[in-house]
Amino acid sequence: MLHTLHPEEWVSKYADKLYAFARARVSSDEVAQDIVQDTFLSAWKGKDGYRGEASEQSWLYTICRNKITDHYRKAANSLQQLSMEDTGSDLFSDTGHWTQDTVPSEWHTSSARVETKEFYRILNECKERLKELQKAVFVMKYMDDMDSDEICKILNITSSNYWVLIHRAKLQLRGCLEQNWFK
Amino acid sequence: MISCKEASYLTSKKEEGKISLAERLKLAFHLMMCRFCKMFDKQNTFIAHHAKQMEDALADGNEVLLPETVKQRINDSMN
Repeated sequence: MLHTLHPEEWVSKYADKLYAFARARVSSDEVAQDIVQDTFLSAWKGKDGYRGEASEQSWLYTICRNKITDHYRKAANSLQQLSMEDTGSDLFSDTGHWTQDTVPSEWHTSSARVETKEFYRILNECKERLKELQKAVFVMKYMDDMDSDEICKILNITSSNYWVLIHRAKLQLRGCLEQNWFK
Repeated sequence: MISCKEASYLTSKKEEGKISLAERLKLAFHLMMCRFCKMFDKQNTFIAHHAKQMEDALADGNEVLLPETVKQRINDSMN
């Protein structure tokens, strides 16, 4: 079944959804707004090339996703080679032990409060506090289910840079969640 | 024996299945001895699981709205 486009409905039907999608993946309202604008503009310019195989919604999401990865790629361009040293110089002691501030404590995860909206808001806040590229790899890996090889290719980064970024993201996020929810 | 810092790094690699046998053994040995790193391992799994659900959980009653001014601008540019 071939789909058709209805540009007159795009903003009312998809603008908020695409904005939420973009905002969860980039670091500011402004960047997310630019991405949504660029998405609709590209879609408008390219509407004659739409063949109707994908639904209108998934076609727009694909364009949006591409704009987001373009944005990530630009940010990753200025990334120099990272080393393991960058993963936790402040999170671990000189001898490689957890510090008093960072040492994990027991989480009581079986509590009913854990699957509430409040919990997810805190988790999201912690994710928002990640540095841009840490957030990018975290989102691509854990929310978009991408494989690390795919992520490296898309961002044009080495796998060792990827490891450092994802590892740093997880350390930060874990610490933040522990501080703000489980303590 | 590897440090907690190295163990936490290997935990991440293990999750991806990109860990060598030697690394796997070093990590297993460390986790046997270190309850903090064991907790880190469990907590990572927990975070990964909930990160997946987070977007849907927050989308319900969506609070993130594109400003009207931007919507207007977009509509204007498509005419």
